[in-house]
Amino acid sequence: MIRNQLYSCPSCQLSCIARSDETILLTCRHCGTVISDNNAKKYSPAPVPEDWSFIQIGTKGIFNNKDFVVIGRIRFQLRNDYKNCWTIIYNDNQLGWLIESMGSLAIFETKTYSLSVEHTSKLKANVVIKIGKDIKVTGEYVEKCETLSYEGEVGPWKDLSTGFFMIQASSNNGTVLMFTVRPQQDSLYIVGKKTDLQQLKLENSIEWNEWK
Amino acid sequence: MIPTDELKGLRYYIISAILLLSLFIYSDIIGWNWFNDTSTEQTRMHRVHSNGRYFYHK
Amino acid sequence: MTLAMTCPNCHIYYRRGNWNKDITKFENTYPQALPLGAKGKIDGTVYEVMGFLVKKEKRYKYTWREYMLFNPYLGYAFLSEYDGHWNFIWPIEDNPKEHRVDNSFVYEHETYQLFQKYNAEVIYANGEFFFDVVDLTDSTLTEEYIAPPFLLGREVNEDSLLWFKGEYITEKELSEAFDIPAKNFPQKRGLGYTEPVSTSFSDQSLIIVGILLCLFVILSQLFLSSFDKNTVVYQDTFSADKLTSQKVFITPSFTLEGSSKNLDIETYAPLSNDWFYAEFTLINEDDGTEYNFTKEIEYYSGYEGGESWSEGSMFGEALLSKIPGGHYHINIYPEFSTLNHEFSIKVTRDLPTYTNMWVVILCIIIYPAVYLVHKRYREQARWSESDYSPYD
Repeated sequence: MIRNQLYSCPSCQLSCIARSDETILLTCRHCGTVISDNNAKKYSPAPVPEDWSFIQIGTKGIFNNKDFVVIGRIRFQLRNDYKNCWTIIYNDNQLGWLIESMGSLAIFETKTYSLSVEHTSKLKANVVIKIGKDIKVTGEYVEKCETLSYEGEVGPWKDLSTGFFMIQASSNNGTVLMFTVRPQQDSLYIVGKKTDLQQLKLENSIEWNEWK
Repeated sequence: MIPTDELKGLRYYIISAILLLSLFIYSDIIGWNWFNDTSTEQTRMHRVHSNGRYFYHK
Repeated sequence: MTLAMTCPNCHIYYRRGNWNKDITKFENTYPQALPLGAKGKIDGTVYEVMGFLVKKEKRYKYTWREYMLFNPYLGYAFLSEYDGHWNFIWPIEDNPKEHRVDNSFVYEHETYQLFQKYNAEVIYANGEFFFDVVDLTDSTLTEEYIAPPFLLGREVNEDSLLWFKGEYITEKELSEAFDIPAKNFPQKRGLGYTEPVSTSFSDQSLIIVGILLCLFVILSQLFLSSFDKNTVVYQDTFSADKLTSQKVFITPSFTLEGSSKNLDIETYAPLSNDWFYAEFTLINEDDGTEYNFTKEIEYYSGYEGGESWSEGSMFGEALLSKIPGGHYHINIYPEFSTLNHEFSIKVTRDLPTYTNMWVVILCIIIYPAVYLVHKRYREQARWSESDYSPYD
């Protein structure tokens, strides 16, 4: 999509603006319909269910001394977990991912890498694999993605359909790799860093007052 | 070196040791040996039993 | 978010996902100390009790209870209870053991030791869960490493590797956190496997404080000894032929300076297979106080079986405490043997002595020593429950 361009919602005609050239789709803030450059029908999201996330569109934070704001999310419902993959936009207009699940937080770059089928087949929980020359990671979990939902403005996620396996692997220095794996195919992965609430200095998050 | 809350946990030990140390210093000042003392039998004689500058015993 | 739950009416356990539509029925119900929905503040974070589980170890068949807690900012955590001992357990992002295979490793400055490995099954569940606790528990091998009051748990199955950290939590802390009377909790039995022997200080701190106190005592002794005058106030030799008809030697008057100090009277008799005995009376001429004491010395020697031997000594020492300053003399009532006819005495004022110091040091050491022995005994008792005891 094109930054600062107006897009009309195919259902209710409301004008929506994309904030980044990397954005692949928007949901209409009025009726939730998916808006994209391509045929919107190929994205068939489930409605975003209510969960206990404290992050919302408009939540602000700081990562690597750069301010960011949350502009959208993809929610992956996994077999035994869920991942809220929030699209964030930094103050230099770069996009990133803030992946959050049950209090665990990590920030990823949007750049997607590919891993050959041969290497992908070695990806398992509790197995150490070497990615390139420098990165050595341990598989942490393998979870099948059961449903997808979107909200707001979604960054360049490469595989927007269910049925893949999400595999997280990380090294002890906090580097974390998130793979999307389909049998007998090269896998895709993004690279990020584990972080926490204090480091991100989140503002405008949801206040669950009953837990205070 | 030692966290404050751990010192708090050891307060009775430290206070007891300081009391003992005070007794030790006081004992040294007054020349009180607690254990390797020679056992003495202490009596108080009245001056009427003295003869000149000496007290005669037995 | 909730992926599995139990029916509050018929107590069956079922999943929301598409992967497993089986329904699990439990044979028995079990009482729970923390009700579902109860909120408690642990380490400054409010958690709500979402689910309750009773797990059974597959090999040794013992059971324990777990309460699943939730906070929207920090995710889920557990309270685990066994024999009335509680641990607060939360997932961590690290891989504390990295790729090491030993049963012992250091993490965050604590040495963790493998305590148990087990496979468990859920025999009862109540409430709601963010993952399929029944299936996951059944397929997971758990290793638990302890460094009381902490524990690290490593849960591995085909699809996941998860590390947990835990810390022992007392009934009192739990009771205050959830505002539930401690009497409602299961009765405590034995020593909990992560229960610290002391909750308020580490061995290292105790040893450091003990050493510092001992050093302080030694320095105090050295400082005080530097002021000890160690003055010889009187010395003389006495011969039997000078003995008066009253059988007493009376020393000249001597002055003890200053306030109360100790006084050392050393007796020497040139003995050879002989003895010497005397009664002494130290008399304060100013107020008439008498200090009576006796001294017997003996010395024997010989040559027997090709070796020379000796026993006893020709010296005897009397150390008198707390002798005030003033004018004194000593009356000596000697008993001579047929062989020995002389002896001498040396009176020393303000002699440095070290026995008090050793007594203080001993007292200072006793507590840590008893504590550490007791702790070791308790540790042995703790590890007697483990297949990986370092004491075996």
